[in-house]
This record gives sequence, C-alpha cells and structure tokens, in this order.
Amino acid sequence: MMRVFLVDDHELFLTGVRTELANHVDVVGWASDVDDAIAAIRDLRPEVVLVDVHMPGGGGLAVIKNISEDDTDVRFLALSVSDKAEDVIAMIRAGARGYVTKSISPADLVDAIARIANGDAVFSPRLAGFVLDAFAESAPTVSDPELDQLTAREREVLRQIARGYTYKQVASRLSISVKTVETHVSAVLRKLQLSSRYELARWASDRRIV
Amino acid sequence: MERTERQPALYRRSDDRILSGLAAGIAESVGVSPSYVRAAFVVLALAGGVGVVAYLIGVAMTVNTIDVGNKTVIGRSQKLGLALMLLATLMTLRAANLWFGDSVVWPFGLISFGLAAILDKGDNYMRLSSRMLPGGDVSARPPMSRMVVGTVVLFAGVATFVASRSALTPLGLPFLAVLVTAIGLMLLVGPWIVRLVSALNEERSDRIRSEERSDVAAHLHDSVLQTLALIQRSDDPSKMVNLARAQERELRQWLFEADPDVDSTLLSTALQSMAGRVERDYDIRVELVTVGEVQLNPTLDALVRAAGEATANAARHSGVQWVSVYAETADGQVDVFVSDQGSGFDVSTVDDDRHGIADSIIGRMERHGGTATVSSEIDGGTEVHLSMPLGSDK
Repeated sequence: MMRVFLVDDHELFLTGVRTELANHVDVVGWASDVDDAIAAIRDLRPEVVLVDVHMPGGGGLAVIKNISEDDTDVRFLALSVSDKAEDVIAMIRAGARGYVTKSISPADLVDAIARIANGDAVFSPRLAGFVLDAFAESAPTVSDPELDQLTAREREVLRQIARGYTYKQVASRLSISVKTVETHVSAVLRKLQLSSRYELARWASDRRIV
Repeated sequence: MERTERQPALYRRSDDRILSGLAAGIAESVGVSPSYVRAAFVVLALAGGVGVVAYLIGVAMTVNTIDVGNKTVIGRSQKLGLALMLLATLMTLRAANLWFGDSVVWPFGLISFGLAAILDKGDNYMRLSSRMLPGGDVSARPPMSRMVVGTVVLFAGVATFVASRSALTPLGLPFLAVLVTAIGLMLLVGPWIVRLVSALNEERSDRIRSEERSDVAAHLHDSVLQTLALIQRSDDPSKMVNLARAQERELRQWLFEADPDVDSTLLSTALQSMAGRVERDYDIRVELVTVGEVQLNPTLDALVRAAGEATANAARHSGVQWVSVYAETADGQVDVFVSDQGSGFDVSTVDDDRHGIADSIIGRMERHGGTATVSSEIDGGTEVHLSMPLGSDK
C-alpha cells in the first residue's frame, strides 16, 4: 500500500480523511502544524504527502519548500478549500505535483494519490483553467518557448480536464491513451513549475475570484 | 549640571523622549515637567553651545541606564530654586563670555519657557487633582492660568526678538509681525490640535474595526452557527450534506460579494452568479471554470442565459450530483461547455415539448448569431456546446 502522510490544522478534517483513506492507503502519520510536519516527514519518508495550503506558521508552502530542499523522493498533493489562483499557483511552483479542493470525493482522492505516487500530475478542472488562462496569450518575447508556451495538444488536454472529464474520458475523447494524457499533464506541470513567464505571477495575483 | 547630583542616579526615560529621553529622565528625578528641562537645554545651547555639550555628556553618562523610573513630586519653593540655579548658570556663562549675545539668548529663553509652559501636559496637576477625564490625553491640557502665563511669556519673547531685529528691516516689519504672530499661534495651538485629531482618528478606526467585527459576528451567528446547530440535530446524512453545501455556497458568496474589486459587468461574474443560482435551485454542485475575460453585452447576456438553461437542464435530468461549466474567451469568440456525467439521452428522440433545448438554448443562441450543439448518449453523459462570436452585436 502507498505510504501517505497528512498535514492539516483542522482536526476534524484530518480525522475524516484518515477514515476515508484507511482501506486504500497506509496512512503512516499526520501532523497539524508546519514544524511537526517537517520533522515527521523527514523521519517517516512517506511516498505522498497530502498538505493543506493555509496553516499557521507558513502554511503548506513552508512544508513543501523545506522538504523539497533535501528530499526529492517525497511527493506532494495540495489539498485546500481555497480556490484562489495565487494559492494554487504558489503551491505548484513550490513543488506540489497536484492540487485538489477539499470537496473532492474519497474515490477521486485515492485516484489522485495513486497518480501522484506514480510521478504523474493531478490537475483539478479549476487548476487546468488557471493554467490555460495564465498561458493564454503567446507573448512575443517569451524567453524560452519550450517552457513558456503550451503545445496545441497540451492545451486540448487541459481544456478537456477543465470541462470536468477524467483522464480516462479525456483519453477516449481525444482518441489517445491514458498514458499520453498523463504525459501531457506532466509536461504542463513541469512548464508551470519552471517557466519564467512573468505573466504567471502577475496573473495569479491579479486574479482574485474566490 | 547641578541636577545630576540629586537622587536617584541620572537616567534616561525610553518611554518619553524627543531625542534620547535624557531631559525626561532628568525631569523625573528632579520632579518637574520634561518641557522645562528641554527649554533649559535649548537656552543653554544658545549660550555658546554649553547646552549641547552638557546634553552630550548627559547622554554619554547614561548609556546603560535607560529606564522608566518612579516619579517624585517636589514643592513650589524647590522649583523656584531650580529656576534660580538655571538663571545663575546663565549669568555665569554670560560673564565668562560663552554667549551669542543678549538679543538672541533672552528672546529665545522667553520663547522656550513660554512654549514649555504651554506644551507641558501638566502630569502633576492632572495626577494630583481629580481632573483626569475618562477620555484620556485629549483633555490633558494645562490649567488656564499656566496657558495665559505661557502665552504672555512666549509673545514677550517673540516681540523682543522682532524689536531687536526691526532696525534691520524697517519695511518688512508689519509683515514680519504678522508672520511671527501666526507662527506663535501655530506653536500655541498646533500640538493640541494634532493631539486632538490623532485621538479622533484613532477612535474612529477603533469604532470601524469593532463595527466590522460585530458585523462578521452577527453574520456568522445568523448563518454558520445556525447551520452547524441544525447539522448536529440532523440524523439524515443527505440532509446534512445539503445543509453543509448550502452553507458553504452562502458563505463563499458573502465573502465574494464583500470584495469591492469584483466587477459585475464581466462574463465570469455573470456565469458565477448563474452557477450559484442553479446550485441553489437544484441542490447540486456546479463546477465553474472560466478562461479569459470579456465585458458583458446584450449578446453575451443571451449566452449566459442559454448556459443557465443548459445547466438547469443537466441538474434536472442527469441524475448526478454535479455539473461542469467551462467558459473560454479566445480568438474573438466565447465558448461555453456545459457537461454532466449523467444518464444522457438520445438526441434524435427529443420530444417537441422539451422547449428548454429547442427555444431557450438553440433558438436563443441562433437569434443572437451564435450556435449551440447538444451531444449526448444514453449513460454517457451530456454536453452542450455554446459558441458566440464577439463583436456580432446586432
């Protein structure tokens, strides 16, 4: 079973997720503040960490940044009630491999964890929309076209995800394999994390819709 | 200076300072208002710079003794003694020729002590009498008699100064007199006005803060707390979910509408409120994603209405708990996809009485120059694609 660690400062939510996941993954530990989380993750070395965005003491961002510095094997899935673009983009750029909201169904959450453990990326419809929006105009002065622009195919895959389709449905709608969908999404994740497009930061901070 | 020999040791006060708190420290150990000590330093500084040197020595001696001491109150005769000692010091300095000249030192001496008398917040008076009002510092003004004496001394100083200079500027004298009077008045009432205004501002922002807080508290009480109470009393899980979902929606909307930056004339905002309406009416979740942005116009209003109809249809007929709405503005057109993963239907067998699709969606889109495509299969979900070119406003 996948070894999963939970970080959330809401006790109720922590308990709920632990119960939901108990039959599907091995929850090796949990923490409700940033310092405890960093220490425990270093100690337990889980495969996947579910991390809340907003927490006292720097939030999920601090956890991801601290761990990613010395341990690249631990993968992060951000989990939050916040749909704010700046939160989403900040978590992804810090190194999270996916972002889902807390209203996600338990089955979908287990799917997402498995995908993260495999090294793939998990995009919620909202995140796919954010990426499409942020990479919308092909600026004439992009410094690195390979990193700063999406390919037509990547765009198409993101559109399908934004329309609410699962990876499997996207694959069959575009007549490609699920593996190809995963490859495209991972490529987009990489661009999102490494692109120097200045629009990304500006766009995220301009965008204030809850 | 002679004051340094008095008990307790010389120290500076960190809580009441203009430069280093030395004057306040001295004033406290001696038992007079800091304003007078400051005035003394100013006058001594004019006496050939003695005050500056004395001040620096004082600071150097008190590097490690910055403290908030206790207050001693001294009597009238002691104060008189201190004043005479200062006068004696000045005379000595004058005799020793450490002096900028009578025409400078005496006027400024009068001005300094006049100001000190006026600016003195009168701690001792206020403390000894029961005139401390609950409002605090705003009312902490010196007693009228001292104000009058201070004002007279101040103006005497100003007048002396003007008189001593008037020989040089006979033409400018009236102007100078007006100017000096104005400055004098400013010095007289300025600090008091500043204190009053800042106290008022503080009070107002306090009041705004507490009003906001009670607004939030009232709102949370009426909404979230009530819902939580209902959830605790409910046995039916589906009812709990509905309550929680409705509450979440309401709370988000409240937070959302409180944001003054939200522009209600944008497509995304219109779609947002459309989605909220459908969620409320049909008790399902609408996952809205918008890409790009455009200002609303009558054509796009029609698009939003058609999208609303499609979303409501999905909510009514699909039998699932959520509907996706995706809107993208790009390349001169707006595309909206309304999809659900529900039961679906056979598009070719839609009854004529399903006015929803025929009129409200396809008809409306075509009247405004757009297109609508419905694709669906049994158990394969339904997707409605609405497309509206921009700039086709007729």
